[in-house]
Amino acid sequence: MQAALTLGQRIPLAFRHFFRVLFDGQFAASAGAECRSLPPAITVGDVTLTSTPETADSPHPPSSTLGESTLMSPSGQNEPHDKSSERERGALMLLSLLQQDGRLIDFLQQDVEGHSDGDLAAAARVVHAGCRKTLNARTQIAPLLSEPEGSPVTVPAGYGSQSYKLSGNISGPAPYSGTLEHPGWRSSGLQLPIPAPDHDAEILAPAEVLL
Amino acid sequence: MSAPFVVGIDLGTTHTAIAQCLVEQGAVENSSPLQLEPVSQLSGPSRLESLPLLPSFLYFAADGEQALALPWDDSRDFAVGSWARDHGASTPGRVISSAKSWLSHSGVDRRAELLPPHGAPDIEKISPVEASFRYLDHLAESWSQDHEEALGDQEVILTVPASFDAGARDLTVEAAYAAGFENVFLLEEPQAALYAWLEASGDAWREHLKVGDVILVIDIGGGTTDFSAISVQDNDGDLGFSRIAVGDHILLGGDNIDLALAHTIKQKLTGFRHCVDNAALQSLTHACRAAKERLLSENRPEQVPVALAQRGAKLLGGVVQTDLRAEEVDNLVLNGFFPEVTLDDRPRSRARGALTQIGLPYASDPAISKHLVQFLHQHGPDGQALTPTRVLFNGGVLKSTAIRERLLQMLGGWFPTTTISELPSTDLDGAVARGACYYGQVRRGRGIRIRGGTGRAYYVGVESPAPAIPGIEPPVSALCVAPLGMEEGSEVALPDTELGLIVGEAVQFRFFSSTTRTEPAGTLHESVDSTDLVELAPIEITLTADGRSEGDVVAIHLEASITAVGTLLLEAVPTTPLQPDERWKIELSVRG
Repeated sequence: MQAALTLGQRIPLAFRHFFRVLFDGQFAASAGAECRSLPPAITVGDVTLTSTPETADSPHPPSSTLGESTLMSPSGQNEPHDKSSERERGALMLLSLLQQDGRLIDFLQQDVEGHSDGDLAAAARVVHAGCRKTLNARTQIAPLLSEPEGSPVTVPAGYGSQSYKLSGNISGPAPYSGTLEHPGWRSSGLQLPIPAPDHDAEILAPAEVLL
Repeated sequence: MSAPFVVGIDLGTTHTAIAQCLVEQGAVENSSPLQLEPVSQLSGPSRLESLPLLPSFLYFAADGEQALALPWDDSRDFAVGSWARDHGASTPGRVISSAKSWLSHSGVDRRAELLPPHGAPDIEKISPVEASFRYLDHLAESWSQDHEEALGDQEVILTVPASFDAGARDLTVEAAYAAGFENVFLLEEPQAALYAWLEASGDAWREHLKVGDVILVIDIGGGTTDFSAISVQDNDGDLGFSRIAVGDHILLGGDNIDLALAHTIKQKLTGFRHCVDNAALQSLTHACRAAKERLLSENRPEQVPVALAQRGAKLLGGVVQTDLRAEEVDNLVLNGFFPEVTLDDRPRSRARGALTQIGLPYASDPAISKHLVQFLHQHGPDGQALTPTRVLFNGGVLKSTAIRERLLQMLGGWFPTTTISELPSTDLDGAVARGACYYGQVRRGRGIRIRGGTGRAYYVGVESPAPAIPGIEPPVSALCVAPLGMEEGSEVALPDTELGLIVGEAVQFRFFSSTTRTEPAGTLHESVDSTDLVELAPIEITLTADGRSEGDVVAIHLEASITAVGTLLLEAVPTTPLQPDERWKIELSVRG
């Protein structure tokens, strides 16, 4: 769950959005639409899922009141889960899996400044082991070129610029000769779980509550 | 017209797997290659995934929990499989695990609603049979997503531990029938493992075996350990197989090993705040499992770091780490669970506490090697230990090279004059399901069948008339009704042993079994107090009087047969029947 912002953080944000609504017609339109389509609160068990009232100059909700947990939704939307496109849903699903197994979002959302190398190394082990497991279970990743780094390679005529990134002195027609600096990566595709109709792709990790 | 698919199902203690092949036009030679069938299941809330195995766990939804819907059931209030296992690990009161061990626990009523044993009060508990049914039913539901033909209409081979007694077998079949499996046959898991090896070896298997070989199958799964011995015999010039011994049911497996390691690491992480709660222990167990597998593989490092993250969103500064050292794993896993013992060692039995919670009869000695010694001793000729010449490993624990080597090295030490070699096995997780599927083909005439019949001899308790003495129960003797090794489809009648059967009122039967006694049917033992006779769950039934008066004692003799399904059928046949085919069926899974 995203932490509530302090007043000091909220003021500049509010101003930024005030001016953005004023000068960015596109942004103002979407912000307005969000305000109009706010769904009512849904109750699940004892936790209230609230879609936060949002105005253009206050995109984030006030910090949650004591004793009642409030689920925040950054976009202010809480309606049908087809809001993300197929493509986005897949990407969000992968993020969610990398967080679940490898705590990737936790890691990236934290500021690394001020932490010791020891802390970083310990965290990296958790992230590395978990994310690697997830990736290996869902795709096979292999180098694009089998030659070792530093060896001479020939870039064929008609090479795809997605497969080869050339640097240095490029002149004349391909094929080119050069030195391999990075062999590239290729994945075998990606196997992802199928979301149920009620699956909300934007929730990357649930709030965890110990009873 | 026979079913188009032959299906093998390994209904395991911790994992369930299903393998299938398509038999074109009913001709087994034209079968499609055997393959594991992935199972659709929830892998997270509102997240469906096809995975090679179905973890045998059942999670009950909490109030308002909506994320358990499946494409074929949008109001489901329980989950089976991967998410059930993962979610259940942090909510122990809402999850059923090891239902199979409960199915074989003759000390409880296996049709009674007792799972989960320490369930949350709002849970409607279910019986071990019902839980098994739900796993099978889930397989059928998942199957129907990809196939037009219902799974229940296919020929299904369901595996059971060799150590399952007749009652547990009946209950397994009952769960299968409830799930709509009409065409089901039972197969012992170690045999399935050998069939899988035969299938994987193709024609080359004959090069590995010769007449006289004794194959020791060591199967160590997540929750249980099972031993069987299969001998290679001459069968009219070709090689044939006969299962010659099965061990007792030992509730000891990979989960014990992982838990032991997690506790060791827990003690090393003294600075860790939430060290003791269930979820932390779970992630610790996961972390340890990975480290253990690394340290028990070939070319192992001296130590492997184990890092454990705290629960909150702060990862930096929230991870404690320590090292799992090779010698610690050796000490705990190899010396703890597979200690080097001699042929004179036996598993230690612990004096049981007088008061105990209703629970599973876990093995009290964790030393698997001692259980192995006991097995070899029980089944050897004339007080000698049974001498294996080949070893086939099965079960996830035996993926570890170090454990396999330790076992082979010990066997070599026990039998210095015999060369004991390993039959190379692959895919230790899916072997049993694959082997079961292959056995389905064998049933239709392909390949070689393992003979051996029942792994136990069955005895019925017969009360002798005796003058009443306060405090002394009338003596009970044990009559062998079904000898060890009865083949499927065969029957034994005991016309000379006339017994009195009480009809029309509730009576209790006592049954005993033995995996070691090899005497013919009809043998009578004066006493049932013998260590090699194990009592089954007592059976209380009222046999219909039907034309006779209630409480009548009818002169009968017993007939035992092994059904085509692979279950034991006992029938009482009256000496002077009232109707031409009057007889009473005595079901061993009924409980008193």
